[in-house]
This record gives sequence, structure tokens and C-alpha cells, in this order.
Amino acid sequence: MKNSGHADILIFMRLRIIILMLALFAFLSASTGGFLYYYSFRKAAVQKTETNAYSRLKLLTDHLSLYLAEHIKPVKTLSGIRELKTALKDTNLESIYQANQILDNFTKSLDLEVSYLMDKNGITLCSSNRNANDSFVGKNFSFRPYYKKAVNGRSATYLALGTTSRKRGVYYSHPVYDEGHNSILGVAVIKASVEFVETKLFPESDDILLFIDPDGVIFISNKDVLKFKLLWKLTEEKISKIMNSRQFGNGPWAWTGFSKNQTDFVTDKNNTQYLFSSLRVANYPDWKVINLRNYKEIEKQISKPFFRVMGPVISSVLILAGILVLILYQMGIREITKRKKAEKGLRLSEERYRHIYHKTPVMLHSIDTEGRIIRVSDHWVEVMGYKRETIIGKQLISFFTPESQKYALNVIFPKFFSTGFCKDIPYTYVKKNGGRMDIMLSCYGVRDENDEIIRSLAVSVDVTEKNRSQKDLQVAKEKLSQYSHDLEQQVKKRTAQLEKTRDNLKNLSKNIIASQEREKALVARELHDHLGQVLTALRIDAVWVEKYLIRIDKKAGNRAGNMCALIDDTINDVRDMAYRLRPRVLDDLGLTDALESLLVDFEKRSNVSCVFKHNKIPKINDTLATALYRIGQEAVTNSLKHSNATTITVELKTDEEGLILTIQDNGCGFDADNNIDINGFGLEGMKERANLVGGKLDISSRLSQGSSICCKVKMIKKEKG
Amino acid sequence: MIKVLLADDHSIVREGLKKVLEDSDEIKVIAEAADGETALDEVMNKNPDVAIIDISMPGMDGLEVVAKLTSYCSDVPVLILTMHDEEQYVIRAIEAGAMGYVTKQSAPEQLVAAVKKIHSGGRYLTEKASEALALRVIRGNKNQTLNESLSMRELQVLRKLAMGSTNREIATSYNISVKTVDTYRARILKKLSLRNNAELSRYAIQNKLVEL
Repeated sequence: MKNSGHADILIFMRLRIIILMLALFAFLSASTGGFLYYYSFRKAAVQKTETNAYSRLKLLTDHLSLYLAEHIKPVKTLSGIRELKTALKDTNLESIYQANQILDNFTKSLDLEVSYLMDKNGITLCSSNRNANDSFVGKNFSFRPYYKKAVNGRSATYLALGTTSRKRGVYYSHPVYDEGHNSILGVAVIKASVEFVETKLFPESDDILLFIDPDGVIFISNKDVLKFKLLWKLTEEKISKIMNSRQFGNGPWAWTGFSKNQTDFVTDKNNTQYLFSSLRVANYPDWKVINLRNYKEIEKQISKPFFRVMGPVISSVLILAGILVLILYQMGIREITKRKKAEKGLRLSEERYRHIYHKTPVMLHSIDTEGRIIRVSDHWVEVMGYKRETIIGKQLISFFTPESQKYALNVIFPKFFSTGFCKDIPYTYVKKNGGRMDIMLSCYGVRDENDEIIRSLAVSVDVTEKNRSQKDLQVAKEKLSQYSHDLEQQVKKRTAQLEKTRDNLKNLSKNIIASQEREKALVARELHDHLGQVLTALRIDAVWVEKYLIRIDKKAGNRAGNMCALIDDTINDVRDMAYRLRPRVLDDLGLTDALESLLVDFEKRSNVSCVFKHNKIPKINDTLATALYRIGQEAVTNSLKHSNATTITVELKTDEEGLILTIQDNGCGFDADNNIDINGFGLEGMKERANLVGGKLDISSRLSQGSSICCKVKMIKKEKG
Repeated sequence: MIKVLLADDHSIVREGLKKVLEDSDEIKVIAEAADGETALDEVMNKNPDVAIIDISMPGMDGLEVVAKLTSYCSDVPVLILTMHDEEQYVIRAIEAGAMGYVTKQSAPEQLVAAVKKIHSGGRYLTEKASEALALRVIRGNKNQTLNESLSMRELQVLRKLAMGSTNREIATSYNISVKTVDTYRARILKKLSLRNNAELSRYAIQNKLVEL
């Protein structure tokens, strides 16, 4: 279970990783797509900006060129004016005044900064700013190149910082010829301010616009701080050359910090990248208009709209993708959980199955189609004594006795692999210790989806003990039957003996009773016949004596009479005694008379009404008569003694079966079912007597409902036979 | 002189009886027998006027002798003499054909009279014996089922009452107490669903329990 849990976690981890990878991949794809799109977009944008910038720059350069060339013709015109020539040729106040007027006029009409006239030596003769503090008049500008060129007959333009005015400007110079155009009289110069150009063409913007000389000195810039600074780093030599040229004042010309690493990029001190583009300006060799654009800013400029437009799209796409991935993840997790649950169930059930298989204390094994053992239960291993490792893969029949092997190969295996089922196959296993074990094997085939048997599941039940016990049982049974036979014989013998004994006993009992009766009869007879007769004889004599004496001696006669009475009493006693012992009437007159006499006797001696009913009774033997008489005597005696009855009815009758003697009273009765108390009543004696004559005695009585004793005796009707 | 055969197996008793008989001077014992066969032979041979026969004798008993004599068409009247005083014997003896019945005990007082009575052609029965006979006749009458429910003593008392005997007289004659007699009377009335002695008498007469 722990392992499976671990595996679960692993699966989860793997799944998570896969999904994360997927998510990442999706993200990357989106990003890459975005990026590529962005990249191409940017490239196009950059190109477009570049083009824009270029065209702007071109425009600017053109403008600048145009502007810088603007005053070439006016200076030419100026130089051709007579007054100026006059002033140079004939220098006097008047001519100078005239010249100055012209200059003023020019300056004013052309909106120049200043225009002035130098002589052949470079000394300023006339100037439009002659009245200003920084008047050029008298100053020598012969160091200026524009002068040098012009004095040599070539008009020139020159960009420089005014040494006097300290203002940047464009200098236009043209030689002033004499009338004959033969010699150069001086030089006419117009200086136009660049401030206007600067404000107009170099507007304040994020881009840096520069107008630099061939050495890199920034002459015009839309950033004030950059003016007269060095765009590129220069050697001291070059700087001193610049210094000497006096073109840009006195310096110092600090380095702006820009450096050019690549063709397209320029970095400043802060390593900020700038896009660099430059254009040459016509008529100013090596002067360049430089445009430095902050690359980042451009990027920003480019990306901003892109991101503004594409950002939401991309983020929504990403969010959607994320949600999709999340949903997929959840679905995947749910699916996996479900599957895992199912798997877990399956695994559990399989484990349970395996557990049950192994732990069930039954011999279970499975074989494949080749008859090799592929699985056995623990109990199997335990019982057989082998080690599991040694069993698996072996032929099942290798654990059989040769007979079982033959049986299995020839009969059972073919049958099993065709039907897939067999039951109660008797095999004999051979254990590791060599012991044999009888088993009953039942198995069924486990089928694959094609309904082919792939393995078996077999249960072996150890029946060795059972077989042995069965054998033992058989033996025991035989023995038992022998015993039982013997016993039967013995019982028969004993029964015979017992019967004999019983008969003997019965006879004995009969004899005892008979002899008892005989004894009684004998004694009674003796009493009655002998003593009674003697007494009778005595009485006869006594009566005679009494009769005789009474005539002679009355006293003696009376005495004899007393004797007579005594003898009478004695006779009665003897008769009673004899009667009790055995009534003569039974012997002399039979049962009916005896019973009648008995009842009369009882009635005489009690207040109970004794009713005797009878019909004609055939002659019966003495024993039976005695028995019935005694039963009646006992029953009536009991009634009289115990029942408090007022009427006792004795009935003697015959029916088809025999004699029935019934003694019934209306007394208190007794509990016939619980005759512990009545044992003393001689009931057992009555029963015995009834039994001895082959009769049956029924006693029925209920408390306070009287009792009834009924004796039935079967009689063989000799008379009719 | 009345010639008598005396059959008794007890010689002493026989001697005594002989003495009683001969003392009367009217009776002469002409033959004696100690058993039934002898008695029968003597009766047939000697032809006495009266045969006095004891019931209890070895061999053939007295009752058989009487029965035999009757079957032989003997006209010798037989007086049964016996030690037994049970009514059953009396009835049997009379049924067998005897003309009289006397117990040995009462022989000294009654024997001579009995012999004389029988010889004169009458029957000799004691009161008790004749009652027993009557009762036997009554009981033997199977039509009267009601009587069956009465005991012998009850029948006796019923008869006496019907004949007008008082309780005291009945008590005396049966040697029982007056109270017992009364008990019997009540019991009889109840058994027969009668109310008084008058009804009782009528019942007895209607059912021929008493002879008028």
C-alpha cells in the first residue's frame, strides 16, 4: 500500500510535470509567436522610423543646405555694388558712409546679423554694426578662411563662432573686384545668424540633432548643453588645431561622451544606445547633420502601441490558454483520480484476491496451459513442505505419485482443458519429506477474453485423514457389526435366559401366590374343618350338658350356657378367621358367590352401600378366580379404607374377549398418574396378580371424582371350542 | 320313628349330631357316611326318610350329592347341614334341591325340628336363609334394573321397611345401629327417587319385593 501511495505520488508528479511542460510549451509558443510577431512588427516599425527619420533628416539637411546657401547670391550682389568698390578704392568718410548705408540696407532687408566689408588686408572697413559695442570696424579678420579664399578670388561660406560678437553664424564672403574686374579690392562678408536655423530646423525633441564640423565639433544642436562640444573623442593635437583655427572660439571643447562602437549604434557615457544617422550637407564638405535617436525610446515608441494593441490580446490569449490548461489539468487530475480510484479498487481487489489466495488455509494452486505451477497458496507450501521458489514454474504432476501422474495426463488434463472444470479428482501428492497425501482436487479454468483457458484455479482438500478414517471406519464398522452380531447373539442368549428367568420368576411368583393361597386355604380349611368341627361338636355337647344341667342345677346349667356362648363366639371367630384367609365359598361356589359374599360381608361391617352386579359367568379355573377375587377384595378394601365413598359398585361380566371385573366408587379418588402415594394401596400387587393370570389392570381415578379399577382377562372359550 | 341318614366327614361332629337326633326319641339314624359317594350309596340303598348331608366333604360334596339325588329322581328329602352360614350356600342348596338348611352351630336347637319339618313334607329354612332366597329371586329378576343399583343390605332394609318393620326392629334383626338403618333408608329413597315409607312400600309391592 505504501508503495502504491508512493507510485501515486510519482504519477501525480509526472502528470503535473507534463501538464506544466504543456503549459510552458503553450506559453512559449504563444510567447515565441508573440515575440516573432513583435519582432517582425518592430523590425517593420524600426524600418519605418528609420525611413521616417532618414527622410526627416534629409529634409532637414536640404533645408539646412538651402539656408546655408541662401546668402551666397546676396553677398555676390553686395560685392558688386559700386559704393563698396568706391569705399575700398577711394577711402574717405563719404565713401565709407555710402558703403555703410548699403550694408545697413542689406542687413536690414535680408534680415542679417551683420554685413561688413574688409579691405585687402583683412581689416574691416565698413560694417553694419559699426555703432554697436562689438563693432567689427577696424578689426582684422584675415585669419578667417572665408577671407583667405575670397581675397584669392573665390567666394566662400564659413561656419564659425564670431570672435567679437560671440555669436555663431554663417559667413558668406565674396571678393570685391574693381570695375575692370581685374584686381581684388577687398572682401564683402555677410554673416547670417544660425540661431534662427537652430530654432527652426533643430526643434526641441527627444532625438538629438546635431550639425557638426568635420572634426566633430557640434556647431548646432537642439540640445544647448551639447553646443561646442566634441561628438567624438579627439586627440590633443586636433583640439589644438581647432584652437588655432579660432573657428569655434576659445573652447574648451569637451567630449560629449558619445562613442561609435558599431555602425548603427552610438553609445553615450551612460551606455545608452542611440541610433545614429548622418547626412552630408552640400557646399560644406565633411560637415554632417547627425541624428541620434535613443534606441530604447524608439523601442518604447514602437512597442507602446504594439503592446497597447497586442498586450490585451496576448494576455487574454495567455489567460485563455492558462485557463484551458488549468481546466485540462483539472480534468486530467479528475480523470486520473477516477482512474486511480478504479485502479486502486482493482489493485485492492487484486491484493485481496491475492491475499485470500495466499492466506486462505486451503491448498490452492494454479497451473498454466503447460501444466506448470504459476501460483500456490501459503497453505499449499506449508503442507507440502517445499519452498515457494522451488515450486513455481515446475510441472504440477512432478508432485504426484506415478499413478496420479498417469491419471492426470491421460484422463484429467485433456478433460479439464476441454471443459474447464473438474471436481473431486482423487490424486495423491508426494510431500517433500516423502510422505504421501491423498487429496480431492477441484478446479476450474480461468479464461481470457477469447474464452481460452489460460490458467486453472484448483483447490486440493486433504482427504488422507478422511480416507484413513474411512478405512478405519470401515474396519470399525465391520468390527462393530461383528460385535453387534456377537452382542445380538449374546442378547438373544441373555434374552432367552432372561425370559427364562422371567418366566421362572413369574412362575415363582405364581407359585408363591399359589402356595400362599394354598397355605391360606390349608390353614382356613384346618381352622374351619378341624377346629370348627371340633368346636361344633363341643357346642353340641355343651348344649346337651346345659340342657341336662338346667333341670338339675340351674347354676351349673347357666354355667354351661355361658360355655355355649363362648363356644359360639369362638366358632364365629374361627369362621371369620378362615373366611379372611380364604373364603370357602370361592372354592365351593365360585367367584360370583364369593364376591357377593364378600360384599355382603363388607356391607355388614361398614355403612357403605356395596352393590354387586353380575351376569352369568362361565366356570373359570381356580387361579383366575382367586386372582380376581383377591383383586376385588383389595380394591374394595382400599375404597373402604381411603375413599370415603358411600357407594361401591362391583361389576363382574363377560364380553366377547373375556372377563371384566370393575370396582368403582364415588369417593375422593386419587391421582392415578402420580401413584407414589397409592403404592401402599396394593395397586402393584393387584397388577401383578392380573399379569400372572394374563390380565390387564386399568386404574383410572381423578381427585374427588371417584376411582375405578378395571381388570380385563382374556379367556379362551373352552366350552365353545 | 324317622329314619335318617347322616353324612358328615367329621366323626366327632357326627357323633354329636347323632346324639342330638336320637335324644329326641323320634328320629333314628339308620345310616352314616363320611363322604359324598357313601352318602349317595346309603341313600339309594337304605332309603332313609330324611338325608342330612354336610356340604363340605371329601370327594363329592354335599351339594353334588343333592344334585345327584335330584337327578336320580330320589324322593328322599335332603337337609343340608353345614358349618357355613353364608346365604350363598343356602341358595345353592335350595337350587340343588335340598329341602332344608341348618348350620351345625345351630344344630342342637334346630336340627330335630328341621328333620321333622322336612319329613312332614315342608321346607326348613331359617329366617335369614329364606330372606336370602327371596332376595336372590328379586335380584335374579332382570327386568327390574332399578333394583340393581341397590346393595344386598339395602334390599334387605327395603324389604323390612316395606313389610312395616321399624328402624329399631331392623337394627336389631341385622345387628346394626338404628342410625345405620336410617342411613340405609335415606340412601334407598334417594336411589329410587322416593319420598317416604308409604311410597317405598308401594314400590316394593309393585316390584314384587315382598310377598303379600
